[in-house]
Amino acid sequence: MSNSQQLHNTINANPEELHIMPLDEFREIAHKLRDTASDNFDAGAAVTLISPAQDVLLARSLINEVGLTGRAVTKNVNGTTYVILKGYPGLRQTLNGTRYLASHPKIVDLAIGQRGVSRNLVKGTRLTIYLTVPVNVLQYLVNEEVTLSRLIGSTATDLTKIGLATLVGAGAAYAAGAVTTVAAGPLIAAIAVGLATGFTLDYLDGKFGVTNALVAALETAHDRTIGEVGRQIHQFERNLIERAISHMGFRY
Amino acid sequence: MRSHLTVISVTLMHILALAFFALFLWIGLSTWQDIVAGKPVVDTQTGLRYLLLPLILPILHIMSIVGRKLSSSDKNRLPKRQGDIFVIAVIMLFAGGWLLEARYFSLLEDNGYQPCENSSSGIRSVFITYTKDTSLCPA
Repeated sequence: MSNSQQLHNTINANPEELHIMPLDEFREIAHKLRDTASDNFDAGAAVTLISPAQDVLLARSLINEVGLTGRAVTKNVNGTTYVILKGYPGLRQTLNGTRYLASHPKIVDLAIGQRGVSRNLVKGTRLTIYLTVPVNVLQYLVNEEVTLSRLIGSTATDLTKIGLATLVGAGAAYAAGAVTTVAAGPLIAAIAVGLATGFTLDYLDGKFGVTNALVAALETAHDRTIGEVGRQIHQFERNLIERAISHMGFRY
Repeated sequence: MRSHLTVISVTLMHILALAFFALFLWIGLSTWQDIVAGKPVVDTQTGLRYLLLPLILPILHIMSIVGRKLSSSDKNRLPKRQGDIFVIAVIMLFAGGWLLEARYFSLLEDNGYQPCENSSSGIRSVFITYTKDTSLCPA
């Protein structure tokens, strides 16, 4: 194979598309995007619902597997945690046994027991973060009124809220696992309490203006550091020019 | 040690669930007071329905206590029906919250309030300002 043929094959094996557009065109698309988004739905709030929706689907498959009356009991025997499933194993599709290790992949995948719910919560949180941050950045890009301080401030508070909601949701799953043997109980409790915590943190943020205070603090910090350095450089340049002019003997 | 931790976490979660319910009532009541007082601007947020969902925890607990008390009777089927009751409770809480939230916003609109165009979003809700005079909408 010749060198040019080899190069041709390498390029064709890794195709990448790049769209270059003038600034005016990007601005026009951004305006359209912003108008469409505000007319139909709020992207920021919508993407955070993807993870709870996934959890609901998981709860559905769990109920499908163990049934509406499906019950699971967690027992600790000689330091090893087992999940004991009640009911007829023959009626279940995946979980054909009566007793599994709490770390068994089938149990963890269906979010049964503390370990399964925790893993699912971490997965959901990661997904929410992956979706929230790009949406915040996109809103920053398409909205002319959003400053960099607002982007950093809102992203920081959003991530804190997501983390806190996950933590409280995990607590709820633990509590639900302690009070009930319903297999889907801990997962549903984690979803419910996580959603309510997220709402409450939003409410408290709106009431006490945490995000706005953080944005204001960032802007003040920027003004006192980078802004001040900029002003000092500007002043220094001005003085230098004035001194040079006065040395040259001009008056103005 | 482990049982103490369980009791503390269960108690905390019950208190939290009741606190969420109290917040639901508080938001509804304060908005109603704003409407009655004829306030020109009322700040609202979507997602009120989520505040009812944590009540599933006390419901689960009551269900299991009642189930355990009645389990001595052979004829009682409640312990075996826990899953059914649980699913019905979840559906009722979600549907109830949804309906109450829809009623909350229609109450504002019935009293002559209109949503402002500018809205901002949090992680679980969208902040909307309702006003009787759109010139009072925040910039």
